[in-house]
Amino acid sequence: MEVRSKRHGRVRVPFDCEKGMPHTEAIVKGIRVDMCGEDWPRPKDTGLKISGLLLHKLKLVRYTPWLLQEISTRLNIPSSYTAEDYTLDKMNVDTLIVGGGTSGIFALRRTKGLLIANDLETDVLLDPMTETSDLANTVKQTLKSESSRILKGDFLGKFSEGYLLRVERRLILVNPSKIIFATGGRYLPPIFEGNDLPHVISRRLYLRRRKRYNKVLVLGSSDDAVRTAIVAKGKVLTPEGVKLFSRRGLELIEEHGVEVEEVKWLRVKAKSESLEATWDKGQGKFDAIVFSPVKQPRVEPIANSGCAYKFYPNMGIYLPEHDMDGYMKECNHYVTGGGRGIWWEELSALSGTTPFDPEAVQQLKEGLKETTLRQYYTNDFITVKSPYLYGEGGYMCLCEDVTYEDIMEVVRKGYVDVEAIKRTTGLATGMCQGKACSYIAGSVTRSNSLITFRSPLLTM
Amino acid sequence: MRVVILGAGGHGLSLAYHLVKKGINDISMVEAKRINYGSSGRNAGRYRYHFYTKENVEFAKEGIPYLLKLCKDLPLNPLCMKTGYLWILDDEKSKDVISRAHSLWSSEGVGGKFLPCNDFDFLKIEEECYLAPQDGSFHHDYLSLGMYEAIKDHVKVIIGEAMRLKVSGGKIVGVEVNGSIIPADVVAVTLGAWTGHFMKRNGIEVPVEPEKKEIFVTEDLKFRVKPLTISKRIYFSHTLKGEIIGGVEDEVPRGFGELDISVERSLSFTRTLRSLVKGAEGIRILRGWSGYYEMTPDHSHIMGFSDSWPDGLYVDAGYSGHGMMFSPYSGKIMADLIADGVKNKFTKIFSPQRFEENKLIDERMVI
Ligand SMILES: Cc1cc2nc3c(=O)[nH]c(=O)nc-3n(C[C@H](O)[C@H](O)[C@H](O)COP(=O)(O)OP(=O)(O)OC[C@H]3O[C@@H](n4cnc5c(N)ncnc54)[C@H](O)[C@@H]3O)c2cc1C
Repeated sequence: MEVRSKRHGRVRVPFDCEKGMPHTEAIVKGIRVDMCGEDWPRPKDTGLKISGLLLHKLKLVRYTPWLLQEISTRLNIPSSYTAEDYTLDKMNVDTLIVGGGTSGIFALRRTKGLLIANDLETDVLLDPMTETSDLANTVKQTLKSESSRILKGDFLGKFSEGYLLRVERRLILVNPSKIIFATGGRYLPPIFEGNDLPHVISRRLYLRRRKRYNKVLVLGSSDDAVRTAIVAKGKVLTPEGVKLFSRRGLELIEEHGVEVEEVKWLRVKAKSESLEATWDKGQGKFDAIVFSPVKQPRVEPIANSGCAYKFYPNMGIYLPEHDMDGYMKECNHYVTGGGRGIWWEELSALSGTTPFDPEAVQQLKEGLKETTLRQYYTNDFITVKSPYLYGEGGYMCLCEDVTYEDIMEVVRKGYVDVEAIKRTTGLATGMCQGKACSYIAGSVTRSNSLITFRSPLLTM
Repeated sequence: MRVVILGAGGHGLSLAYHLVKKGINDISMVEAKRINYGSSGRNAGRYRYHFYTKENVEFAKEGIPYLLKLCKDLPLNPLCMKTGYLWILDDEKSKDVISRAHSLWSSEGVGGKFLPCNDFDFLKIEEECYLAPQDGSFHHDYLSLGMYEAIKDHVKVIIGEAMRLKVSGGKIVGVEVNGSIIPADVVAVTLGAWTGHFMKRNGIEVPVEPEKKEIFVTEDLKFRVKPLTISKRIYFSHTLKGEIIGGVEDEVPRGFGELDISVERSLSFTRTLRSLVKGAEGIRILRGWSGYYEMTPDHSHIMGFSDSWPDGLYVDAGYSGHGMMFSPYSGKIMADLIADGVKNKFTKIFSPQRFEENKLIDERMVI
């Protein structure tokens, strides 16, 4: 199925199948269609890229308000939604675990609490390098043995009455005394011309669909890029001067002879049904371009629940403010695994036990020493170039079609933090509510804060 | 003249904008959080001429055209557009209120008309409606940030909470922020819902109280709800980017609190909206937020000064939920007063002294 973007009419498909991410849902004749269950078109370079800032610059628009309405009626948006409704009830939960990745599953083993997740297919079970490991087996077994304490559903955030969960058409209010945010992290699309084309996808999505792709180009500066390259037998491009590999990542590069090339710029075009990438030192045609620039924790449920976060300049990501055991003092909750920036699954599993086991804390500390996260705990901050910057073009916000150039234009005017960028360009106001773009914009502009992630965290 | 403006919402920014235009060059703005943090960054962006009292209708008759003029001048486009307000007369009370107001509005030259609701394609109900075609919409952020953008190189913005006024010999000499005193000849208090609290801290009674209001935005739907539509339960309208924005009409206890939203109101909003708008039967909300209405006892704003206050102290606040639309004009009136001593008639009508003198305005149309 072919879906066009809201303003520019670009052909788009999801870059990742996480619920709530841009273009994961299409409304066809009022019905919600999961784009991840559909066939996707080959890459196509269509549509009309016009700067949203023309709205302000073209004075004519102000004298012809009917034109605005005319443009509005032409936006690529749904005409109707088929009826649906919810029931609302309450449930008693003492400890709530949000997220069903490795660390969430390991935390569940230590509590009598309840786990809620809308995706129980964690990367460990998908990656051919780990799918048969002991760890993957433990995860699988726990999913089975503890299934009565696992809800498949959404965490919708904090409301005046409590925290809201959704399981199918049921809304459930809970007031847990402790929440363990095992919300994991995500890979977000880097900046370059052509970054919104179909089949420019995240590592996670690639792991799910890899059988369909032969020739793959990998983008990224983290261990996960290396691991992707090993599975995909492709080369890795990293922005010049940005290398966030841990010791293990470097060993893997050696061991598997992964080619890592630093690039100054990258451009991608749709050419005869495939992706043609050109960079300063090379070029090639690919079926997919797979990115894992750096794993960005899903901060929005954490921030929404009143926990603090900060920009970690060493990696260009946002991290919840937490202690080594995962405790977040601002809100009295815990964060584990990818939610605190961890990407190796053994460390992730360990971090799921640190809230309950002081001995695990020391072990985790040792483990993290080998990674670029270590300076977070020692407060040694150094600024690196953003791992998202592969060029000076493309889209920053897919839902609302806001381009990189538009963002940079308001940044030059002094609107540098993500909130100010949002309010001057409309970034982060669309379907994904900033779950993708706000992190990328923040990383590129080194903003101290993101937007206010409001409830509900998914459409409700 | 050293002017310190407290609060960088629409009213503070507009005052600064107009003072800069007059050539005043020593202007500081004190803002506790960030520009537009308060209600000016949280409202529905609608303007109207249609109030319950003659005083407010007449204020709007000057204020709204002024807003529309500014919309053409600012470096950001506030997207001002005439859309109308549409009341669904679904209970006796609203019928009664609108009928009475209709004669005032007609005599003021802004009369609307009664018509069947199903003249509007988007509505699913068989009631009587009242359309006030003169009213409309704007983008609140582009309005306030547009004023800011125009003057940002001419004013100093200080991030910090204004604490105490410093008075000497019956005159304002400064204000305490972040532990130090900013010297001032004039302090203008444009603190929105925080005005009463701040003034009380300084021993002055200005009756402005916060009332928390929740507001929601839905998923995109093809543009159809052009007028701001008001039923007895909710009000709502389309934005130009395709969302439906609106809130629940209910009484909330006054006071500061968490600026969150409730499950109950979220559901109540979506359910009512789904029952009223064609095609929206299963529409969901994308996000909600809340802000404060800045309520005064007579639901009308307070502008100017009181003879009992120290010289150099001014207030412009208390718009009771309809102040964004008036921020351009009020800033102009206040700038004329502060810089040139020009007393617009409205500084008398809406004077803070009216509460002592018992000259209240009987405004009842809070939307
Ligand atoms: C949900 C909602 C919907 C609304 N809809 C509309 C509408 O459709 N049309 C309309 O015209 N109006 C509407 N309003 C009302 C409108 O938003 C307000 O009347 C208007 O924004 C008030 O502007 P202000 O500048 O007076 O106050 P604010 O914008 O609230 O600015 C006050 C500022 O003061 C700061 N502050 C507070 N205390 C201190 C301190 N001690 N020191 C320094 N700074 C401080 C705050 O951070 C804030 O930024 C709505 C309001 C809400 C809440």
